[in-house]
Amino acid sequence: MLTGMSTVANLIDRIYREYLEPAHLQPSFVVVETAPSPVSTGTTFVYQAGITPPEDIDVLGIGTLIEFEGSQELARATAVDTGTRTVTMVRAVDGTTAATSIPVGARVKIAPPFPRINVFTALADAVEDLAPELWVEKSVRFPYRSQIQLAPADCVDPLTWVDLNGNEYPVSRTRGVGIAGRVHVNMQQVPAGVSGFLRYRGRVTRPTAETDDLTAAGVRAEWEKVVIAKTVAQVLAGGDLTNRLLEYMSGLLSDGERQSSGERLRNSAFAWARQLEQDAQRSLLWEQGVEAVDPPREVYQ
Amino acid sequence: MTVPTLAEVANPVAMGYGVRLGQNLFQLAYADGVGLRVQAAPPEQSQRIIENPEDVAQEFGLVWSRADFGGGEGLWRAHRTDGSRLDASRYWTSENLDVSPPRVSVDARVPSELQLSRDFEQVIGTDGDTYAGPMIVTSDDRIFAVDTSPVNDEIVELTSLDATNPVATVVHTAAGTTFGTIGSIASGDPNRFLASEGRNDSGLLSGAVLYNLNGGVSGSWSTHRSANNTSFGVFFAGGRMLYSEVTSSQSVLKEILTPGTPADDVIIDTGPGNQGVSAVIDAGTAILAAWADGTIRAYQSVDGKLTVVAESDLPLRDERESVSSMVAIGDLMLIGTGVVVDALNSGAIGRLWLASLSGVIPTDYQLLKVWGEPHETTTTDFVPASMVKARNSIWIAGRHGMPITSAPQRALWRYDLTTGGLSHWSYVVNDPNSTADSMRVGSSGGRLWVSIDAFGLYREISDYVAQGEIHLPLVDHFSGDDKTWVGFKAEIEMAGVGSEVTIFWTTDPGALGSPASSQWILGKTFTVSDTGQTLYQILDPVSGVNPQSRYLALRVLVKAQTDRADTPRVRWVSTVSYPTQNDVIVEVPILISDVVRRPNRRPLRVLGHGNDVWTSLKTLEGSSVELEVYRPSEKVRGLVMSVTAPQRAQTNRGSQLEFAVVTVRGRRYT
Repeated sequence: MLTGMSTVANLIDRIYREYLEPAHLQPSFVVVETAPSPVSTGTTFVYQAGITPPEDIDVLGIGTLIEFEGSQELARATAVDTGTRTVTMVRAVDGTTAATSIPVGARVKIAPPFPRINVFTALADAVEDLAPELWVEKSVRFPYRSQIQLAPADCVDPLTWVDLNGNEYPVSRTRGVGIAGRVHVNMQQVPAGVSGFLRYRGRVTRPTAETDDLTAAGVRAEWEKVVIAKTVAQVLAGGDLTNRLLEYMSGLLSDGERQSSGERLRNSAFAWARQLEQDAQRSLLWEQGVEAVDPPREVYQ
Repeated sequence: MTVPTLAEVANPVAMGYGVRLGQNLFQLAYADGVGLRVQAAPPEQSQRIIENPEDVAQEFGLVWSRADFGGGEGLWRAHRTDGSRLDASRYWTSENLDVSPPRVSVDARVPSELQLSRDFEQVIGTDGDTYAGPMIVTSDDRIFAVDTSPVNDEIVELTSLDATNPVATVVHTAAGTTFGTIGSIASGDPNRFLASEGRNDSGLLSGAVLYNLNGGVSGSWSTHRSANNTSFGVFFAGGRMLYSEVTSSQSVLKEILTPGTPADDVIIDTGPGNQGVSAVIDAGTAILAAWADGTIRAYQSVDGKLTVVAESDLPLRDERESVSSMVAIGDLMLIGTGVVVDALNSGAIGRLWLASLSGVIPTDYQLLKVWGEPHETTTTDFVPASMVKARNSIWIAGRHGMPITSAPQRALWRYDLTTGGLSHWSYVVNDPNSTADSMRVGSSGGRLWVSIDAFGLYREISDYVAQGEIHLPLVDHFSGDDKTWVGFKAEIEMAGVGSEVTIFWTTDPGALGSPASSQWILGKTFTVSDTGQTLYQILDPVSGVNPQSRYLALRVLVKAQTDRADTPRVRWVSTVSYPTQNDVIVEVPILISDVVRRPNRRPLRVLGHGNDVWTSLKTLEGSSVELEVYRPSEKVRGLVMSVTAPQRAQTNRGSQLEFAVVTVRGRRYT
């Protein structure tokens, strides 16, 4: 049972821990002995001896991307002196932001197969993509201005309109003529010129920082699995699926998925995410009694 | 890129390395049909050496045996490159054992058996006296010894030698008003005798040469020559009567032409003062005289007169070394010498040389035995004092410590004329004194007689000595490899009550010659009812398993039956061992993929890594390396025999596996 507040960083850590870098699939890394100085702009660091096998150091060649543990920064190695164990690099490449904290003892992943910036982006996408299947009920001051009005940007489906006296009027979603792709509200039954509020099913706000609180943003605990699955599927779609991950994932899905190709697995991951999503949706609808659906499956216990 | 080394990786196993070659670390490749293989290497050559029929047995392994001990002592290692045919019958050392080779007796061929030698007893004559030296045994089996009990020495003739108390007849009493001594006796035939005498006439010292031409008992002893402050020695050789005359100014060897008329004496040779002649023998082609300066001079008759024709010096002779005794048979000579290292205490090292007579002088000296070394400060006289030749043996008498137990003994050694083997025969009497009393050995009536000046006259008896032992050589089957020593066998004919044969074994070469060493492990004690022939296990007393070592040596301790009337007889002993196949061939499939796999890590692709690994392996081909496979644990030092070209194998799950098989042949180590 998932409980408590979850930040984006919490979920990212969990994704790494459970799926992308489980204990038996750790990436190659070196350990910082002397951090870059200044920490955000320094271009060299020294790694500890005796920890990283030579072949891993061999990979740490010129042009190799490295990632400081816990940060979303990617740096590009430009020189490696294996004698002094000094790595020279270009900081914050590929649109990333330099880390502000690189403690001694931190791991520096060598050519990380799943950069944290990618995981963060995929997770943000996944949160955003919860809608329309999963939504958060929101309300916003929405004065009557015309029969057809542009809905709030995060609106997925308008529910009712409520005047200041608490009188509720039905509204419907309609095709708008304003901004393409945005939802419009049909206010035909709302008294003209009256001020009130629009109740609607809205999207969960896309996180912009790892410190964002997903729970506060409306992501229910049981939806986190959906976010995780979508994130993993998206990240894997851009990366190489290892055999071990394949085994793990296929074990979660069905026995028939064992010994599959990467593509099939990737598709399976997406299917898994979809299944989780549908379960969550069913649960949401059941809870709200909005639509006649079967009881949700006990998939989160 | 480099191949990882041990110095770079603190915990190779945790990092996925399966094998170390020298300092380099590699990963093992495992797939169907690909895996580590360790097998025993076939032996390069057969170690089976067959010397005796006992070595041939329907048993797996290596058998070594001794069925003949007649080759004598001195063989340290049973198998050696410079060995000879006789090595099959030799051993390291023995004492109080008869190791005679098979010999033809009157009735039957006596098999070669290891048995105790005969004991000696002191002779007491019918006059109740004991006798000492000098002693001679005449060709008609009479013994002339000296009775030192009276004030003046007496020459006593002993007859009825097999009687409990031989008949003793005093035939001469040394002259001298206070006391007289008999220095030496010589006999050329049953009727002719010479003796040297020391006289003390109230403080006036003089010496004399005596002669007796009438057979001893019935005849009288007359003075041929006497002189003050002169010592004489008498010799018979080549039918000639010789004597040495030594003063402080010169030494002279003379021949007596007319007994009683010294004016007729012929001076044969001269030497410096106080340099006497210790031995004169008839070598057939010449008469040889050993001078105290270490030379052996050959004399031949020229116009009836003995004339020096050649001279031989001991090889690498210590300047203090001089000849003490000689024997010549055909062209074979044994020469006993002594090196005085402590004149005050008569300490001397004894040596026994074998030489061949080439023409008239001994050549090709070979040192057979040294007694007393390395005790350069010995206060004991180890000089081989006397020798006597018999039908198939030469007996050597001296004060030689027991070869194994080191007890101070007057002893006899035996040189076998058929094998050239030298062996300790028997002790004669315990003699803790170290004085250089002279000793003579003779043979009469098939038994040995030994006289020891101022000590007594002894004869061999039918009883056996109480115990003796032999230390057999180190057996290694001509291989430096360790062997697993399984057991030993022996065929023994036990004697009566009290008789025992005990076999010990050791894997420590240092135990040979040291019976007290704790490294001798008791194998089996055979008592009256045992016959051997069973394979007795050789088991380490601590670990309880068969010991493994390069060498094994056996020690056989023989004890006579209680009344010493009979001895156990050891016909043969043998050992059985298995070659410990230390050489192994290890075939190691080593991963040469670019993908590096290690525990709990995501596979890592290092471009070119596989090629680097294979190249580094290939350079090891033919090199000596230290191979360590971590699991299963194998440590081998050896040679990289081959490195295969890259091969591929399909794993059950995942991608193809690229590997090379490295074959190392070597020896396990820990």
